[in-house]
Amino acid sequence: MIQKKTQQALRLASAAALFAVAGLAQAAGQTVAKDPETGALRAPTAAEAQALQGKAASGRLSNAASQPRGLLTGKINPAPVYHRDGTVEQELDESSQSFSVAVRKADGTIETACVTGAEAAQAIVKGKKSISKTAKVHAHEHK
Amino acid sequence: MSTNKFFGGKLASGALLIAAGLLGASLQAQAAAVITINNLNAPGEGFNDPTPVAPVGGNSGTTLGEQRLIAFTHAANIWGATLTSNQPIVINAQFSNLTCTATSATLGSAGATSIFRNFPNAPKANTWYSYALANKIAGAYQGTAGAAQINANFNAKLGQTGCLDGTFFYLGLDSNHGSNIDFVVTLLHEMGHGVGFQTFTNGSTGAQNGGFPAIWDHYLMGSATGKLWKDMTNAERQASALSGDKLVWTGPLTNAAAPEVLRQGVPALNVSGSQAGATAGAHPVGEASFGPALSATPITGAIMPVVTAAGALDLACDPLTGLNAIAVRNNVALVSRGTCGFTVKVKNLQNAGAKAVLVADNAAGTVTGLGGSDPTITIPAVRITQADGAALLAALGKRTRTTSAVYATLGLDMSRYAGTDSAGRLLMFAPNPYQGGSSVSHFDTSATRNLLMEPAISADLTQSPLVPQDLTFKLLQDIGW
Repeated sequence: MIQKKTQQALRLASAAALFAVAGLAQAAGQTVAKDPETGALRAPTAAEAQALQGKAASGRLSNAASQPRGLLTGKINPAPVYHRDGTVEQELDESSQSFSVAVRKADGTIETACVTGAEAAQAIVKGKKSISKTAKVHAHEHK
Repeated sequence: MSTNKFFGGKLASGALLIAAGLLGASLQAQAAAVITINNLNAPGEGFNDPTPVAPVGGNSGTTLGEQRLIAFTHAANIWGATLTSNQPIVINAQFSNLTCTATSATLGSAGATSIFRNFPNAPKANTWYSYALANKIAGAYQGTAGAAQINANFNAKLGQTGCLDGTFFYLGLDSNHGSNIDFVVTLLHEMGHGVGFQTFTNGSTGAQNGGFPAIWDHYLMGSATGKLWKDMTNAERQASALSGDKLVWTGPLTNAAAPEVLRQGVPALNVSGSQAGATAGAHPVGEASFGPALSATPITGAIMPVVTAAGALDLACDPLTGLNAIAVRNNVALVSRGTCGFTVKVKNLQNAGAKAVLVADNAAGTVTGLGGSDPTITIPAVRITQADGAALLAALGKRTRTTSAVYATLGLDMSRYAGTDSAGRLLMFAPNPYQGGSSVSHFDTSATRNLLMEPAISADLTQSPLVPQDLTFKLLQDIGW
C-alpha cells in the first residue's frame, strides 16, 4: 500500500516537473514560468528553476550554459541575499557540489572517487587527472 | 510543479514524502527528519523510465524508473531515520545524461543548494551552515518556502555503450552489487555531503565563501601548526589541504567515538641499527590486501635490498636467483614497485625465503596500500614511500651478502586507532601532491574499518552512518546535527 502511494506520488511529481519545464520561458534575461492552473506568467519556483538549469546545462537553452549557475534560481554567480533579521543566504552552484566518478583501470577493476566541483569530475572522466591516490588503494591498485 | 506542504497538513502532489524513523530507534538519533524527494524527471526519463526490469536485491520495482526511485527512497529513509529536524529536508532529484567515456563516468553529484549564516539560533556568528542544518537549528524554514535544501543528479546512461560500458548502478537494497556500482551507498555518501558533510571554503585556493568560514572550518585543524581552518590565511589553508597526515578533525563527539568504530593499531615500520643513520625511526607504511595482517607482535629482521646489476632497487618480477636470492633469505626484503603485480613480487620473495617485504613506491606521494589477492602468500608486505625506499637503499650501502646492520620492526602501533593521529583525532583527507577537486570534506583513507565518507566508496561498507559501523553521523553531530 505504501509502495502504491509512493508510486502514485512519483507519477504526479514527474508530470508536474514536466509542465514546469515546458512552461518555462526566457525574456530579456529574466526567467518566468507559466502557472499550470491559471496560465499566468510568474517567477519560477525552485523546482522549476532547477529544471531550467538542467535544460541550460544540456546546452539547449542558454548561450551561457558553461558558466556556474545557482542550484535554485539558475542565476549566474548568484549574489548573497540579506534578510531583515540579519540572516544571510548564499545560493551555491555546481562548483561546490560533490561529484562521484568512476574509472575502469587497465586490469578491469573500477576505481571510484568523490571530488568537489564539475570541473574536477570532468578532468578525471576525460583522463586529464588520475584518481589513483584518492582511492582506497589497497582495494584497487594491484601493481 | 513540485511543492511540499507537509507541515501545513497537506502533502501537495509532486512530492514524495519520506516519513523517517522507520529503521528503529537509536541513541544517536534523537528523533527523525522528514525527507521529501522532488522528482524532476519528465515522463519516460530517469525516475520515470518505463524500461521493464526484474526485481533485484529487495527492490521490488518492475521498471527501471521505479527501481531507481525505490533505491533513492531507501537511502533517504536511512538519513531520515538518522537526522533530527522539525523542518523537512527537500531533495531536488533527477537522472540525466552526465559526462562519460567507454571507460569512465560521472556517477552523479549532490550537495547543499544554499548556505546560511547569522540565522536565528545560529551557534556561531558569521559562519556558513548548510541549508538543511540551518533549518534544523533555526527551527524554521530559511529562505524561500519550499525551496530544496539538496540538489542530486545521477547518470542515466551509466553502463550503456560509451558510458563505463557494462558497469551499471546496482539498484538492489542489499549491497550485493558484485562488479556494479552500489547505488544506495553512493547515494548515502552524496546525501551526506548534502546535509552538511562539507566545507564551503575552497580547498584549492583557500578562499572562504564570501570571506566567511564554514562551520566545518571551526573543527578542521592543521596539526602541524595547531591552527583551525577558520583562523588560517588562504595560503595556510592551501598548504593544509595537501598536508598528508597533518589535517585532523577536532570535533569531540567524533573523536570520542573513534575507538568504538576504528581498529586499534596502525601499521608501523620502525628502522634501527648501527647503519640506519637518518632512516632510523618510524616510517609510514601502507598495508597489503593479501598475506597475513600485521599484528601487535612485530616481525623484526635485517633489511636486504633486491638490486639490479647497477645497484638500483630491482622489481622482483621474476624468481630470485644468485646473490639476490641469498640476500633476502630470512631477512626483510626491500624491492621497487613496478611492472608486475604486488602479489607477484611478494610471492617471488616468499619463495626465496624472505620473512617480510617492503615495496618502495616508484612515484612520489603519500604512502598507500598494496592491492591484489593471492591466498598462497604467507609473509606480510607493506608499501613505503619512494623517498624512504631511496634512503634505505643508501643506508644499506654497507652490508654483507647475507645481512645488514639496518633492521626493520614491522607491526601495529597499538597506541593509535587506524584513521587517527597520535592524539586520537580523526585524520581528514589531504593528499599530497594535491589532486584537483580532492576534498578536505572526507575522512582520510587510512581509516579502518572503512567509513562512508571517505573519498572512495569501499565495497565492504554497511548502510549505516552510525556507531559502531561508522563515524559519519558523529561528525554531523559535532557541527550541529
